[in-house]
Amino acid sequence: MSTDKSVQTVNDMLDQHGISRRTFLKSCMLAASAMALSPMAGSAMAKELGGRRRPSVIYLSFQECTGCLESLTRSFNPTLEHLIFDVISLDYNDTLMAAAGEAAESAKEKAMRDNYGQYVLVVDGAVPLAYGGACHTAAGKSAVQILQHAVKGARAVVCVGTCATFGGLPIAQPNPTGAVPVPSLIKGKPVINLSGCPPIPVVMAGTLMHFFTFDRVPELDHLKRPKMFYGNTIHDRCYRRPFYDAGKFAESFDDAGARNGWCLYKLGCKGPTTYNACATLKWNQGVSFPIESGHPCLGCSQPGFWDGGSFYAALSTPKWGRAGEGSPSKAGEVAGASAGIGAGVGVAAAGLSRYRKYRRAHKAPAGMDAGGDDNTKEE
Amino acid sequence: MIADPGPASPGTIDGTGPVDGEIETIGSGVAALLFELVAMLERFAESGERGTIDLRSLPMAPSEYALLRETLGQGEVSAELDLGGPSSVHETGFHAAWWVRHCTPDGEVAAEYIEVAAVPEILLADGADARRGAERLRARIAGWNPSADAEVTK
Amino acid sequence: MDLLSIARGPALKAALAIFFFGVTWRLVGIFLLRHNWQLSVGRAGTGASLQGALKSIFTFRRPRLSRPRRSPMESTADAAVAVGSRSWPHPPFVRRTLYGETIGYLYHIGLALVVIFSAPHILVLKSFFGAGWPALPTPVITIIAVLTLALLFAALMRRLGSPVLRHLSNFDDYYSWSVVTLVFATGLMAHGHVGGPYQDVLAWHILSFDLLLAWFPFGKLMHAFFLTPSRAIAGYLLKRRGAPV
Repeated sequence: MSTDKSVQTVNDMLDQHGISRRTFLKSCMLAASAMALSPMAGSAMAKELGGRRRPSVIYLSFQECTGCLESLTRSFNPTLEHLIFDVISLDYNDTLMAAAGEAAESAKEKAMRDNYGQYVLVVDGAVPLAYGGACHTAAGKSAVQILQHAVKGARAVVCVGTCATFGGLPIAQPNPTGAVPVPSLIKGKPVINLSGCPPIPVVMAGTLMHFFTFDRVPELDHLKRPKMFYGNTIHDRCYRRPFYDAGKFAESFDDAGARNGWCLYKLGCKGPTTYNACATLKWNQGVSFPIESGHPCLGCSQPGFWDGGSFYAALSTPKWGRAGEGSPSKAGEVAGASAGIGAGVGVAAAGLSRYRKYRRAHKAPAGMDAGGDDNTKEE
Repeated sequence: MIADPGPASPGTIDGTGPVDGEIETIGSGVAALLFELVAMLERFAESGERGTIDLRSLPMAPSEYALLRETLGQGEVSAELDLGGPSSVHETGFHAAWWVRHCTPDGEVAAEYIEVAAVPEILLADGADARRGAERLRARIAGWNPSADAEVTK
Repeated sequence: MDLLSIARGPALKAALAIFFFGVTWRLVGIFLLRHNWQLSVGRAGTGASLQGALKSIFTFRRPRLSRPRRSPMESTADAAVAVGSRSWPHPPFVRRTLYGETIGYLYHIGLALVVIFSAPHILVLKSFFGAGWPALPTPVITIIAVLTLALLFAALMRRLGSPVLRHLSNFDDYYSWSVVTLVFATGLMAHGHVGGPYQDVLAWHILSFDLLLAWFPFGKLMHAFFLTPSRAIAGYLLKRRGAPV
């Protein structure tokens, strides 16, 4: 057994912390189950990971609320989410680490040097580009500079949370900081997007476990999210789906339909267009998820959900402006304005037609028909 | 594909429980499962090949689950484990078919499967475990006087 | 912005603007056109009372007259009569035109029911008008929608199958039919959650509705607005010249 961190294996580290191989095996089996793999895959995972050097992870935070990290660390059970911190060597995280200032920065530089080409870069938060990137600075460098420096030696980049994957809240109109999603700044490295506001803890830990065990990026969808967690919409797995199919909707919060647990489509549920695992894995160790608690899905794992219209306007309704719901006055404005212009054009067209008839009537020599119009009498 | 815990198996938080009018019996049926188990046992007998049937990945009605448990029954061996949450292993009434259940510290069933093997993997201790055990024991007994202790322990 | 946000947002606004602009332009432009004065006296004995006019709308029959000269009231009644009496073929022609008339009425009714009484549509209309109303059950809407789609195709087959109609049909006819059927088909696909990710299918449904709105003022779909005035005017003119309506 080695206590030297640079050659310590996962098993060494677990032993040091008094975590038995059996406990680690059980945790890996639970992780495999969460990823729809068989328990024996968990066993393979435990064997693979146990003998390996602890993978180095550098965790950078930019324009974020820290909700993603809270989601990962606030689990109350020593299950998968804690396991991941046992397995990995988290060499830099400015929220969790004890060091600060120069000590923290030099720890990061050392970890990046020692593990060059091998460490996994986990990023949360969007990156601001306005004012030369000055909206987010740390240790005298802008977010863009920190990110570009860290990406060079990374083996892969995992973007955690909708802010990092799609820009999230910072990118919402009017986007005063010029925020961009992290993948738009990364070229030549594999990227995994774990979107959600925040992502489910099991999704974060499970994806990292999968990556470290099988040494490859899991199967991704067109938005680079792992299909094992983002392959279905909330709507496809929602337990209230039978009510949707039967046309039974809650009309307002806390009405009879809502209390009967009917579908929340009319209250603005974005479940049909949102890909995430909330309906099956749920939150807080499977206690509940927003729809089960009576609130429509916000669509927080989709790009641009902050600008996707009101959270409480149904998907079928018009979207006026950033978060605006349609209303009679707004519709009336558009109708009135365009009808007004149309009326003007109509009057002009009719006027032109009358003028032409008048001219024709007056141009013809006396006694002859002009254009087949029997009535030369003008109005 | 996301692991769907399916309708209630005892001891789980059930958010996907039956809705109005949902029929009770769904899934592949207990008989098909047991035929698969028979095949696995025969393979183990011939070549020692291990196998598992993951019960959590199959949609099973409560009545089917109960029927499965009743059919397989309880064998000669039971083990309770404490692995950051209770786990239990018991041999079913059919040798080499073991029922393994892992729970979270709150008692929620997190994984449940039937394993066909000489001994379930979770019960095994391997060489690395033994080596670590030996190191720890050696450290513990370093400096003891064996003859003085031998009189005490007689 | 993703496709659905565009469909629900700027595309819908633009389509509504074009629709209201176009419809108002055409209606105002046509109604303000110079028309010829009626220099002869309105024929007597061929007008109608208002009661007779209303009755004729429902019985599709010509009413009898009694007054000697045409009063404004009679003229209005003539107009109303014409709208009603032309709503169904005159008896000698019924057998020949029954199929086309029936298909037409049925799919119009189906379209109206689906547009006005399906839950997602009520939400849209509620956002425009401020108030909603109860919806028909989802399975009922499904049945109506499937039947209406079948009838739309039956109408197309009829048009393509008859040499006369084929000869008379132009781009406007086929394009207007396509635009309506596209909205309907994509709506049915979204309703049934088939044909791809729901987000995209819904976006295509709303975009095809935007296309319908934008095309509306410029093709034969304007019959929705022209039908009543043109029948009314025809009735008025014919009756005052002594022709039957």
